[in-house]
Amino acid sequence: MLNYLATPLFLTGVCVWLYLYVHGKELDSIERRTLNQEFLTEKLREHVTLAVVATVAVIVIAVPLGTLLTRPALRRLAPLVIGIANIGQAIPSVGLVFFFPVVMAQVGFRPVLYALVIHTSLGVLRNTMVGLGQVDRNLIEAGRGMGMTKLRVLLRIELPLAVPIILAGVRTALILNVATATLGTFINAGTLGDFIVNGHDLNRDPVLITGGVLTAVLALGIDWFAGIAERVLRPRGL
Amino acid sequence: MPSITKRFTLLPLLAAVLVTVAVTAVGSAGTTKTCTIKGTAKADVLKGTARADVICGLGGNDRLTGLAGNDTLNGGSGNDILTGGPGSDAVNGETGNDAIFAGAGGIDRISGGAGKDRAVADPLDVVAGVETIKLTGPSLTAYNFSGAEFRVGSKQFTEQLILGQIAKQALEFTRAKVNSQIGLGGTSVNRAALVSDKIDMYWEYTGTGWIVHLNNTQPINNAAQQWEAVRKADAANNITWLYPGPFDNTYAFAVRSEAAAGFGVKKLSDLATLIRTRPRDATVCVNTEFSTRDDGLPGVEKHYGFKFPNDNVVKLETGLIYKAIDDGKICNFGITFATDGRIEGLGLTVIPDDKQFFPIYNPALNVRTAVYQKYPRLSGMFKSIALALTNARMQKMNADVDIRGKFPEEVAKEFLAANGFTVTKP
Repeated sequence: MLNYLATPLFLTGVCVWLYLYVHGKELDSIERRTLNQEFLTEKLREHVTLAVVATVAVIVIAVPLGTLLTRPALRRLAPLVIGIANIGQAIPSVGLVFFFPVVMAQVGFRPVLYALVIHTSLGVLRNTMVGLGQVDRNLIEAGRGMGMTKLRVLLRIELPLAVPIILAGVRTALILNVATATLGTFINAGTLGDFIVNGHDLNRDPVLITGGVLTAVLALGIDWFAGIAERVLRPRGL
Repeated sequence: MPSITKRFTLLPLLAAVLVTVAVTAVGSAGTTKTCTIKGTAKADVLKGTARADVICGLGGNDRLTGLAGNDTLNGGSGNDILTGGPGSDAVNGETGNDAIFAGAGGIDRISGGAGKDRAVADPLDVVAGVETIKLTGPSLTAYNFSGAEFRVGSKQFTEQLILGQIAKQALEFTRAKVNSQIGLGGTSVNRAALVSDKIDMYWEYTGTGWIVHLNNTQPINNAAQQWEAVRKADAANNITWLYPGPFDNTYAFAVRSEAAAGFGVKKLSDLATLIRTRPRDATVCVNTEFSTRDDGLPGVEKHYGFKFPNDNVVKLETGLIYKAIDDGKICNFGITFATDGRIEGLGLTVIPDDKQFFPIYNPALNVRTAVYQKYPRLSGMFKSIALALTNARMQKMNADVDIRGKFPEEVAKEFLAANGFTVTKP
């Protein structure tokens, strides 16, 4: 029980501290333009939307792709696809975020979403392949021996056994997305990055700290949720 | 019908010519009248006094010497030799192949007039109509900091790299050792490094010092007062602001030149009409900083009495804004920095700030007070350098790097040499 509650208690504590810290300050007009309810809600919404949509997109793309690449017919292609995904992760995220505005004159939600998906796909893809690869061959043989089709073996035996490893990859992607979404501020996608860049450029500590702390709280909070989801989704008996 | 139209277009032209002739005639009559020392139609030798003289050579090959005071020397016709002397003189060669000597300090206004003229001038003198110019220059040979070591920082954008190089090379010319931290980091990084004794100096802008470092929200709209204010306030932080240069790297709205006419926005106040009549075209790119500063978008909108539609304000990283304005796909207007080389390079048009809203961002070297107290002559040295940093020169230097691909080192070296600072012999 304590394990479940420690993180939210800690994060609540941090938020309370942040609230008291900001309220204890005499804010000037520059700080008041960002440190207000309306602006904060908007930025939080933009941030969470970006991170969640990007992670869902990554799951939708990477899990089926990883599954396909472990099937015998397509296994030869695995190094190629992994190589491409590697490039996506190797390019600095700032570079990816700036790529679409510069090359395609696109700014806002979409280009950041593309950048996040490209940047975080590799982890989920690789974990899906590793998770499926480590399933005991004997269990698959047993399933086939019981008369299950290949698809049924995949859905009833392989995937459930791979879930913990896949979810670990998803969790990493989620946290990476929450952190990297801050770069959206540079190309009109808002996010909590607005606070960080604004506070830094104008030397306004309360603004900078609010952005930094809330991003960290968001990442840890979402990770906590993902942890619970992981426990719930994990097949019983494992 | 065509002949009438022609006559009507010619009329104002004729009037303009007449007025010009009249003004010139009255003007020249006026100068002759106010001459305090007057020559003859033959060759004269005329000397001024220690006060402000107006010396007129008239005809003949005259020899005019202004001596001290802010003198006006008019050579008249003939091949004259004019020497301004100390003070800020106005030296006019007028007709004939004149030789003008306008060194010896002051900011002189030199006009060669007709004929093949030669002039020796200080770097800051305003020279026109002279065929051969030789700059004397306030050479830094008068300074010797041998044995001293200075740590010079700068921010990371082109202008700052050039300014950092200017400081570094100037100090090296005076035999000081320089530990280069040029390109150290952003504004706050340099400031923190200066305060915590990690660097000894970097160039800061008066407006930035006032609003960012000293946490004020309202700028002071007078260059000298703004400098005076930061200098006083920062003394408490053990930072000495040396004398500022004239260029003003303030905010400036820009639009791509091809489209400027189509929007009918010739000055900033015209944006109000565009927003009212064609709101879809009134798109603007800003950086997040500009969107929340009192001297940024909120202030501009209040001062000019218009408001961009919310969806038309695109917040981009500063470097992306120039390209976005040039493309015109993301936004038609955007905020830029007045001395940025890309304004020239991408063919952008700056929209004049007709109601004088933007604060003043003059460059001044920020020096740790302890270092300044040990080497007080830094003040005089960097005053003469700062004074040579005009808007036109800074824009050209930035464009030299950003557009023409030169290195900041080269550009700084050329600046110091061309303005006479690193000239060893006059």
